[in-house]
Amino acid sequence: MITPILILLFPLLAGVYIWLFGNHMANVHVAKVGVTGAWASAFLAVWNLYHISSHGTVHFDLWTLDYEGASLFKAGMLVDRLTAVMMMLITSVSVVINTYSVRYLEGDPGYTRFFGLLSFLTFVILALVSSPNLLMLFIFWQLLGLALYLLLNFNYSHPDACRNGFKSFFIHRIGDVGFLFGIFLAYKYFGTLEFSELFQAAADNARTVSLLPGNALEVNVITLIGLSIFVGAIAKSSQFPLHVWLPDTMDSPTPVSALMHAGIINAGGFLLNRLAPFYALSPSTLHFVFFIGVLTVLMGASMMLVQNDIKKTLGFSTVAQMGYMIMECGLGAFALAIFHLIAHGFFKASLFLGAGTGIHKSREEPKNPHSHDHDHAPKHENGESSSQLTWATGLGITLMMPLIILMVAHDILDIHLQDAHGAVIFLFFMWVTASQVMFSLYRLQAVDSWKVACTMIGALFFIGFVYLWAGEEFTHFLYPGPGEADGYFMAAAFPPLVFDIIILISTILILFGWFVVYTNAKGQKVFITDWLASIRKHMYIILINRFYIDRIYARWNNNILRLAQKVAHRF
Amino acid sequence: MENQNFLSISLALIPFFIGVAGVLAKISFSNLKTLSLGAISIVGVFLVIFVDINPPTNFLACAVLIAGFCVLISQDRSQQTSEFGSSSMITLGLTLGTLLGQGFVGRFFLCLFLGYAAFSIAQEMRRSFRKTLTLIHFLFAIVLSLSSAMGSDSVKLLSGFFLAVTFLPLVPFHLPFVGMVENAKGALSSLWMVVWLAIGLAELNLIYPSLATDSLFYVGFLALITAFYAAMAALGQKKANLFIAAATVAHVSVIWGLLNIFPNFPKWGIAFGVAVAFILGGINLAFSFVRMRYGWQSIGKLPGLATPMPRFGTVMVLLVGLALFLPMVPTFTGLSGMPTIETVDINFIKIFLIFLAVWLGGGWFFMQMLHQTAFGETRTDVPYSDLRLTEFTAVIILILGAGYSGILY
Repeated sequence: MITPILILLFPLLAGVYIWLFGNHMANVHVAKVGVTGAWASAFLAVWNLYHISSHGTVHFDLWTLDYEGASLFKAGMLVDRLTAVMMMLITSVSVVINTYSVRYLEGDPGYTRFFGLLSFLTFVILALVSSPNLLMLFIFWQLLGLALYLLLNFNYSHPDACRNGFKSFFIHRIGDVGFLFGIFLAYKYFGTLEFSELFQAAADNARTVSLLPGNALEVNVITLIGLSIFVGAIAKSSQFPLHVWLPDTMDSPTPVSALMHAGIINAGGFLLNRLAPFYALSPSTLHFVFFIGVLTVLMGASMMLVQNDIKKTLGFSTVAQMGYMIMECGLGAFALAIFHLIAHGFFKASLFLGAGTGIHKSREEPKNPHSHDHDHAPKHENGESSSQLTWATGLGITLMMPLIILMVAHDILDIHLQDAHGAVIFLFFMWVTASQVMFSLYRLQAVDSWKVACTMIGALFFIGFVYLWAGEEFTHFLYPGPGEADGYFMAAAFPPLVFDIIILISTILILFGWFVVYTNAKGQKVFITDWLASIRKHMYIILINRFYIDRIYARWNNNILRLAQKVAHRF
Repeated sequence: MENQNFLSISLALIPFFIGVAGVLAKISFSNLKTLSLGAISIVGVFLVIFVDINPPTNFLACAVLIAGFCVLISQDRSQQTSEFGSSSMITLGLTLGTLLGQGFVGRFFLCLFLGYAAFSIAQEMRRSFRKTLTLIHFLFAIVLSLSSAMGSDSVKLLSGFFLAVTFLPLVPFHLPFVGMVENAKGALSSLWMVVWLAIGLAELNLIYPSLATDSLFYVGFLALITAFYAAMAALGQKKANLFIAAATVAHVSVIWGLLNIFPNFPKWGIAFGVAVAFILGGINLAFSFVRMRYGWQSIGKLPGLATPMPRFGTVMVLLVGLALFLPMVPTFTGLSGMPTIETVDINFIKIFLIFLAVWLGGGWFFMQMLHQTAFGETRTDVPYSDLRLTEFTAVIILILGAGYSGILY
């Protein structure tokens, strides 16, 4: 009981100390307080993960608000394996960012404020992931939005930073309406907001409600609540159509971007995981989650392709990655989403911090960047043509993937394919990932045949191992209940036709990708090249304008403000 | 009981007489401030320890005293006139009389309060159709408050309802409230806000058990219109006082909207109402300090105050932070008493829309205001000076009061 409290307490105390005494301390001491708090918390989080893994979930109440015999609100902590894993991720990222910021923000007038806010934010995320009920989670969800806003406005005399901070905050606010409405309905229909009680009550009392008078438009209560809460996750994890805030938050200092992309953005995925038993009761909600995730992946990844600013590229990459994570949840692969979240968190934090250092160096050295931009792929230095062996290896391995997938699914994971469409689709995404690695390797270096071929085979084994480990071990680590993880996959199963279409599209896309890469590399002209080029041009314009979604929102914004001025005049 | 009633009225008369004495005897502000703060403290102690009245009324009376205390303590002895102190104490006395007085005595104090408010507006407001409408509204309210003391139950209910929508303003009954907040001088505007809402909460508490479900249904629609209208008005408003008035009206609409969703109004409604009064009153008070220094009136004309005025920046961030969470207060407290029976009706959609307007509107207009005052480029032509410790303390007390009311009460 003491360890989880201390994990939260260290960053909080560091934040409070910096806030109270920071202005009278030297910068180096301020940083020391922040870094020490983060390190202490991280060490305890490691111990906590070990302890929870071996001794089971810890759940306790610190304070209960009683009202007429009923306790609505319990302030406490729920530390299960999911929370313990998240705590370790958060504290590790916090340590990295605190340490990085010591030098990076040197000389900045907001040095003290930054470290205070960073410690506070760490505390808020830790409290969020250890909340034992929806109401407490929502309170910290709100505080997270506010703390993020203050960090994004770190440089508050910078108009763009302020504008984008406001935009982020407001979009989160839109999501929060849905979230709060979901909480409201959950209490109304199930009489509790405590997670375990809520899941039990929802499983026992499946019911429908009519949204319109006369029993018209009947919906399942669980679906209604699940969708409402999912709106909150959409906003926080930058999913379509509320994805517009994330790519515009690059005016904040690089450590803030790193923290945001590695930690805060994961809140949506965490929320879905926390409520996994609830979502598993509503397949249609999971399908909707999957749909939103896929849409976000496609939009985020395609918009990323046309960016020419390194931080914006990373921003759109995060949008796509978060879409992928949400999609995993929609497929019932909740544990894999957490695995993805952790991997992405570390990977993106390192990319951002690396980008920050690069930008810093570029500012110091007028000759940087050198002759080529980041988006130009390395050229083949001696103009050698690609080897047949490389191609054969890549193509062969990629095409073998479906076979390997089926083998893994059937013989190792023991998944009944006809019942667990989610699992199969997820395995197909493994194929997509492996193919992508092949494409990238080929594009980077396609001449040194044996090395590349070996790398490809190595990469395949690595990906296979990671997916297998994540799919099997990590899933059962996070959801150890018998049949629990399988139940989620089952709940996410699609109607057969939809399932077949998704598989077909995935297959066609991969084969088409190989075809295009191959013909381009060989310098061969394909009969649809002109047509493709014209589409590419149009797509470029659409993508560089971000599908015009930002512009539509801006127009709404201006219209509302104009109307508001008229109303204000008469008030 | 008789003794309790007498004690309550005596307590209300103390600040009232101090205010009147301030006007008649031309006491300096410095002396009046000392006297008033002492009196408020004594009345507060008596109210908590010796007066046995129902808890909501007691809570509202304490809230009013705290607001008066904060407004007075924040004023600089050398810069403020005795008129300010007198006016504050008279307002406090009349409000306490209205809240604590039973039956006819309470109504009599309410008439005096309305008369005093109307007199203030008549003096300050420029001649216009709006002023005429506002004064007619005041007249009507005075007549109804008297009739509620003497009329039948239905008259009492009707007049009580009219007074409730006047003091907890719903469109189109918001003109007196907006007029008071707009025209009151300096920090007095903040005090008027708190006392106005406190009386409104007391009135609603009085008539709430008698309100029929049907009438609440229609009131809910009025609340919905008010929520959207006031939120839009706050969004488009540039004048600081009017911005606060519109934001307050928008938040008050939540109370009316939730009336037929959550039972036990005294539990959640009064806590929320007082939290709204303290937070919005706190913003008003903080703005009055800026106005006193730089003659500032329009939001956006003096940005970047957080840099030269860090104390102001801190209180604004705290106030806006709390203001953004305000709609959660009734949800939080109301949930505890909400029956978990299965009822789906249009009320749900209605309250969702009200919530949407206030939540999103609040998120937008409070943040916009914060950006246009605390953040941004600092002007070089303004001799900035940060808030004094007493000013800072006064706002912090209001923030703590709002926190207590919204979360703990």
